[in-house]
Order: sequence, then C-alpha cells, then structure tokens
Amino acid sequence: MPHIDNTLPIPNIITLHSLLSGNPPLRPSLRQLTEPRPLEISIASSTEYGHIEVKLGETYVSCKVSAQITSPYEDRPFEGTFAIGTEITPMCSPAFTSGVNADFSTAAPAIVPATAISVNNIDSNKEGQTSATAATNNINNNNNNNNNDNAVTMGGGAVMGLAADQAATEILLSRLIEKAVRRSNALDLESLCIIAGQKCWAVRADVRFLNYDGNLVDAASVAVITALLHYRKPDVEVIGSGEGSELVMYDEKQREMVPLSVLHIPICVTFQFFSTESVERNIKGENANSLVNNKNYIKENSDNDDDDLERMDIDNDAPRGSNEIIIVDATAEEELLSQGSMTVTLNSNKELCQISKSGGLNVDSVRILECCQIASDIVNKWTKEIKKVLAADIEKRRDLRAERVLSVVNDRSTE
Amino acid sequence: MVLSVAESAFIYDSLVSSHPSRPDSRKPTQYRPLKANCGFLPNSNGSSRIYNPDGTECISSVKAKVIRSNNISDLINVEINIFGEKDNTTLCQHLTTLIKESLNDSFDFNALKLTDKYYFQLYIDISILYLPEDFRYSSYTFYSILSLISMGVYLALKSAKLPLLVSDKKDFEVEEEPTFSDDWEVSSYLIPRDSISTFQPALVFIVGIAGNTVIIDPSLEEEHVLEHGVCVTWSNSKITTPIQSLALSTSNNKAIKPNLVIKSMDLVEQVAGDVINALNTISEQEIDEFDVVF
Amino acid sequence: MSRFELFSPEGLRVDGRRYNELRAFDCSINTHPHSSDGSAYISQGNTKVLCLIRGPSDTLTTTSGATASSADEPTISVSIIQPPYATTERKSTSRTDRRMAELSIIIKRALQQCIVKKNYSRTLIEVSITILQLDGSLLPACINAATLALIDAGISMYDYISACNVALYDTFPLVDSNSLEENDLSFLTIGIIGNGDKINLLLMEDKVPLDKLQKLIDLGITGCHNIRQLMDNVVREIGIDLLSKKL
Repeated sequence: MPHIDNTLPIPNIITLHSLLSGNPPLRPSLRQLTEPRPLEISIASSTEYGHIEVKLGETYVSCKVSAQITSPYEDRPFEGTFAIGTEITPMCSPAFTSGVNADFSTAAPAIVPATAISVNNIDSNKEGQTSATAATNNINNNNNNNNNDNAVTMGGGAVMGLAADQAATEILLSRLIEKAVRRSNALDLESLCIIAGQKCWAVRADVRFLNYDGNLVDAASVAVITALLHYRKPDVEVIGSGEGSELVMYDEKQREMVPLSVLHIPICVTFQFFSTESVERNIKGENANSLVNNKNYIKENSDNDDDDLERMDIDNDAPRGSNEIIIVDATAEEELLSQGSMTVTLNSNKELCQISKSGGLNVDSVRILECCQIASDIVNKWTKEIKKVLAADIEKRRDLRAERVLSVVNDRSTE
Repeated sequence: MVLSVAESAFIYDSLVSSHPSRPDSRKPTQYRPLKANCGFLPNSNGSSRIYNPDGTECISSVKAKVIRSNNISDLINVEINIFGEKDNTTLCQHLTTLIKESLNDSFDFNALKLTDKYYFQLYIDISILYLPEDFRYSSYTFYSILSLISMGVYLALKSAKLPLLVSDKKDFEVEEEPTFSDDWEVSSYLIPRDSISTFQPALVFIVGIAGNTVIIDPSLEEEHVLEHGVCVTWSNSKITTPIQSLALSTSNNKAIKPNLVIKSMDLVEQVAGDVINALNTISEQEIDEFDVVF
Repeated sequence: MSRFELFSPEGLRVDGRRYNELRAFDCSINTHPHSSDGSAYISQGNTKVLCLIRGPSDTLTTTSGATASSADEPTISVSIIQPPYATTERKSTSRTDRRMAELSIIIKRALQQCIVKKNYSRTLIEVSITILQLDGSLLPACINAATLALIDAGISMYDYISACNVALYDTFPLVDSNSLEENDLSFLTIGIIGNGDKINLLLMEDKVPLDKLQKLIDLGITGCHNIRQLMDNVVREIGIDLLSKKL
C-alpha cells in the first residue's frame, strides 16, 4: 500500500497495534520495551571542536557549539550567556514544515496525522482484514466518529508524535532541552565571565535534526551535552587592569584551547505510554481495588462484547494490574500510536533535573517511579558511552599533535 | 450585530423625534446598569472591577512605586490590555493616551509627593476581560469602553492606599531612601477623604449625538445610527479637557454642529454629580473578605 | 538561602502552615454568566485566577481565526493572560513568552484528556485564563480554575482534574507552595484526574534527588485529592442550590 501523506502504511499500524497489545507486548523490532536503540556518538570534524553527531537508531541529530565574546546581561554581570537553538525543519522528515507560525495554542495540525485508528477485532485474520479496511476508511475520510464503544482507540494524543501539532511540539522540545541543560546548570555560567559586567562568553548550541525516527528529545539532549563537553574555547587573557586593560585572545596554535566547565551531564529519557483500554476505563477503572472491580466491569461489558476476553487475560496477569504499556525510545511509528509521553532528565548522580509529562494517558505513580529507575540505568549507560567517545577523541587528537608538549587535559569537566 | 435598514431607521427616528426615546427605554441622561466593587487585589495598592450587564468587564489596578524624580509627566503610567487585541495597537495606544492625559490634568501631584526628592510613581494597569462579540467587528465601538475604563480607574484610585512614611520628609540634605511603616492600619488613602484636600480624578463621559438629541452612554444599537460622538472629561466638579469628537459610527459622517457640543457638555454636567456620588459610595464600602468580589 | 526560615524545626512554614496543609482555598463558578459559557474564579492563598470558557462552538466562527476542525475531538485553545499587576513587583509579561506558551500547551493537553472528546467533534472550546494575582502554584491554579469553568460550561468530563504543587525542603515535602518557597526550593506540579492514583500531569523544573521523588508524588496526590474534594463540595452546593430554585 502506498504511503498516504506522511501517515504510516495501514498494515504497519495494525501490526504494531496488535503486537503492543499482545500479552506479553512486543515491539516490531523485538526490542525489549525498556531497551533503547543503540546510541552512536560521532565527532563530526577532526579539527574543529564541539561538533557532534548523534545517531539513535535512525534518528539523526547534529549539534554544534560556538562561542563568542559579548557583554553580559546587566542584571547578571558575573555570568556568561548560553542559548540553545532547536528548530525542526523538513530536512528530518517531510512531515514537518519550516517556519511554523507561533500561534501555538490554536495551531491546527500541519498535516492530518493518523489521529485515531479504530481497530475493532484483531484476533483472527479474517476480522483483522475487515478492521484494516475500517481503519483505512477512517484515515482516508477522517469523518468516522468513534462512537463504537468496542473500538480500541489508539493514537490521537500522540503527544510528542510527529507533526500532529508541530508548533506545540517545537515549543515543548525547545523548552525541554532548555530546562534539561540550561536550567539544571549543566554549564557553569560564572566560568564564562571574563571581566565582570563588561565581557563574557556567549555560548550557543545549535541543534539540527537530520533524520526523524522518533525520540528527537533524547537524541538532542545527548548531542547538546556531548558537544558542550567536547567544545574548547580559545584561551583569553586580560592584560593590564582598570581602564587600560586589554583582552587578548590566543588561537589554537598559540595556546591550548580551554574546555567549558560542565558541572554534570543531564540526559533526557523519553517514555511513551499506550493503553488498550478506553480513556474512560483508564480514569474510572483505577480506583478499582483493584482487579476484582475491574473484572466485574469487564464481565458486565463482555456480554455484548466477546473480544474483551483478551483484555481480561491481561487483567489476570498480576504484575500488570494497570493496563499501561510503557516503552522507551520509541520509533516514529510507535510515537504515532502513543497516547502520552513523559520525559525524565537525570544525571549519573541520580539527580532528577526535570520531569515533564503533560496530559496524555494517566499513569500510575508506581509506574512513574519505575520509569525513573529505568531512566537512571539508561542515563548511566549513555553517560559511559559519551565519556568513552570523548576520551577516545582526546587520545586521537593527542596522537596527532604528539609533538606538542603543552598538551593539558583539563579533567575537571567530566569528573 | 447587523441592523436592517428598517431597524436602524426606526431607532434613528425615535432618537431624533421631539420626545426622544431610546431602544432600551432609557432616559437620555440614564446609564445602563453597572456593577462595581473595589479593593480586592491584596497585591495592589488599589483595584477595582466594573462591569456592564452585557459582559464587558474592566479590571483596574493601581500600584505605587517610589522613584527619585520630579518630572511630573512620568509619575502616572497607564497600560491597557484588551481581550483578544494585541498590545500596542493604535487603538490601545489612543485609549491609553486619552486616559493618561485626562488624569495628568486633574491630578493633584502633591498627593504623590513623598519627600523633597522622592515621589510615588503610579502604575495603572487596566485589563478588559471581555468584550461582546459584536464589538470586535468595528474598532470604533471600542471607544464606548472609554467611559467604563475611566470609571474603573476612578474607583481604583479612590480605593488606593499608600503606606505611612516613617523617615524624614526633609531629605534634601541627607542621602537616604524613604522608609515606610509595616503597618497597613496606619496607611492613608491616595486621594484624601476629607473635604478640603481632596480632588477627583478625571472621568470620561461618552455622549452620542443624533439630530438634535444628545444621549449619554450609547448602547451598541444606538451607536449604529448615531451621527457623532463626543467624549467629555469631568473632574473636580467642572468640565475639563480632553474634549474630543469620536467617530462612533461609520455610517454617516456629517459635520458636528457647535451647539450640539455645548448641549452634550450640559448633559454631562447634569449627570456627572450623580455618577461621582455613586462611585464614591462604592469606593467607601469596605471589603472584609477579598474573595466575595467574584 | 533566603532570609526566611522556610521550614522551622517545629514543623511550621513561612506562613505558619504544616507541611501537608493547603492554603486558604476558595472558589466559585458562574462568575461571568453573560460574557462566557462557563466561568470560574479560584483563589489559593494569594494566587487568584479567573477562567472563562467559550464553547463548544462552531470552529468556523472563531475570533482567533478559522482553525481546521478535527473529526473526533474538540479543538481546545488555551490563552493565558498575566497582567503586569499580578506579581508583587510589577512586571510585564509578553504575549509571546515561551514559558506562557508552554503552560498553555500543558493545560490544553491536560484538559484534552478529561473531556469526553467524542461528544465534541468539530467544535472549538476556547479557554481564557486571567491571572489576577500570583503567589506560587500558578499552573495548579490555572488547571483547577479551568476544570471548574468546564463544569460550569456543562462540558462532559470523565472527572475533575485537580492539580497542586509540592516543594521539597531538605527531606520534607511541602504541599501547595507559595512564591517564597518556590523561589528557593525545587518543586513539582502534579495533576490528577478523578480520585485515583494515576498521574495525568507531572512537571518539575529543578533538581531533586531521585529517591525523594516518591515522597513528593505521594504528598502531591493527597493534595490533589483534597483540592478535588474542596472543588466538589462547592460544585455540589451550587448544584443543590440551583435545583431548589427550579422546584
């Protein structure tokens, strides 16, 4: 089946849905639910500093850090400035358009996404076939009111999902990165001060999304923090004092470049939530104490609805008392179906820098705590990865300039 | 709102007839019912909420700040924020200037004087919470909220309290910043309530003109058929500037007859006293609990 | 650290509350019957918020320009206005402020989840929030006010969505934080639909040790339930009042 706009081919959605709602839930790539895709960090340029490319599966993000000397803000004379630029362009996926106007709150979907896909029966092949047709109609016509109570509705609020609401996605994404890296004081702004109240460094991190396959946030956060760690700014010296002081900047050949003072390494981990039950049950069924009520509820319903049996099985499964399926590092396909997302930012000291879950599926607090624990493990893994790549690069560069005696590696930055 | 030819002709004819009658059977000197209360924002020195039955609502706040300046023109700052309108539209700016100028003319700046060097600077912020849908199609109709805003500002200023100065008033020689008493019980009103030193901030009245008839506070239906509008400012028991003609209606812009301006000023003189009394009564009501306002 | 002792050894906070005590909570609905379809006023301590809701209305006749209608859910537009006088120090907030933009998206998404979407396909619900006074707990107050206004507008919802802030002082969580506490401490915003333990909204911007998170969430959930109860009481009171008038 050909692609319709930028939505997924229908069979894929059906497959994905059935896999995820199975018992145990599966992902198309057979990845574990809580296992991220392999992270590849590469240093883009062998001569320049601070240009990093990060590959998370097929998601491809590049970040370049640059610095120049400006005057500090009047109310913060002892601090440098740091800005992060994130812009989503059609480069990463045709689903995005560039230069979306900023009217975020009412912004219409840029492209009609697969808003809601009704999948009625996916038990048997035959029925699956009909439902696929139903779903096709639904997408094509997009006027099918999902009044059918039996319908399992997925998608809809794809919170971080694709271009559903690009303006909102962009704002949330930039705020997320901003909160994760800037607000958490990952970069020591005071170390950027050169002459108090007069001269300071203005550091910029520009993120470009080269390819989109889900989970832009995590990839971007890794890219930004790695680029900051890798960046070296030219050494400056203030000669003389008072009025007649002069600022001298040394280039790479004259003096070793200075790394930025990065205090900790915050990394974002994004979770996507799915549920096979209706919104109503997600809200009402929760004070079920718990399985008993749940079951009764299902039995009442199941009189006129046979395929609920499958869900009953899930309910019988003790560890999955609540019905949410949580996956880590979703692909674009999975994000499309997602009913809610949460981004957690942690560093390796087990400090939470930021959590953001806005709306979407309601998730048990216990599950959220579990998520944070999972995130912590992933962050540790990725932090090691970052450090490994950086250390290897330092070695490489040192070899290149082995003759230089001056070589000083300031280890303070990476603990 | 779109009026048919017959409707607007009917309204116009009944307004210009020898016994003018208004569509809502008001007298020419009668306002639409208004509700107001004040002093409900604990973070502001003074505040007021005034609203029309059609939903138009204006919340004003007065905040005082100590500055070292004696440039009278920046002691009063006005900012107007209208629901659904962007900041800094010409309309907002025009309304702001009108309100600010009328206040500057009527204000007794001695009330703001703290010491030899320091003054209170007032920030008057006005938000229009809601305008009826019909208002938004014509920018001219926006002027009809001018009168409401000025009453809101009047109430907010009337309810504004300033803390008691505890440092020396004569600080010409000494370098010290003014200090204030922490006790709000001993604070005083910005506009004194005794009869000698009191003054009235300006009120703006909108008068509609059709034929030889002048009416106060024209409603939306009336504005559609009016030939002219005049805004007249009233303060300290007399008519003051600014007096401006307003294009209340786009339909038929005839020239305004001088005697009609005089007539509208007479009309304002008739009603102003009552309006001031009513507003004063409201501003003197004490609010025990902040939240009863809503 | 601040000049104030935010949490005394005796267990009292700056404003004399205990750790699990909400500020004076007051709310009313139908405050602006003529200018909106649903309206509510909420005051949590010195934070006072007004919320007006217009809709559900036809998507074509909007003031904010025609928006594409969605076939199976309402278009919700949220605008937050923070007038300059809302804060103690007068401060103008630009309308294009990114933080405000983020807040309105968050509120929009939270509301989307508790409205029975299928009843309002191809309609527009305009939510406009005015912050009259700000003293901490901004987002929770906005969300609580929006819930009440939605109820007043008669829009069908699965349940209340209630939210509250929890600040962390050393190892003590403090519910319903005010601006003094929020300036110096890390805090977390929690939003919950209904009376359960499932979290709809979770937002935190400052650093918190991972092992303290559970405490914060637990207290936050209790706080949300309390607020929901308080709102429910008021709504029911007004409901009984309305019914008695009908008879």
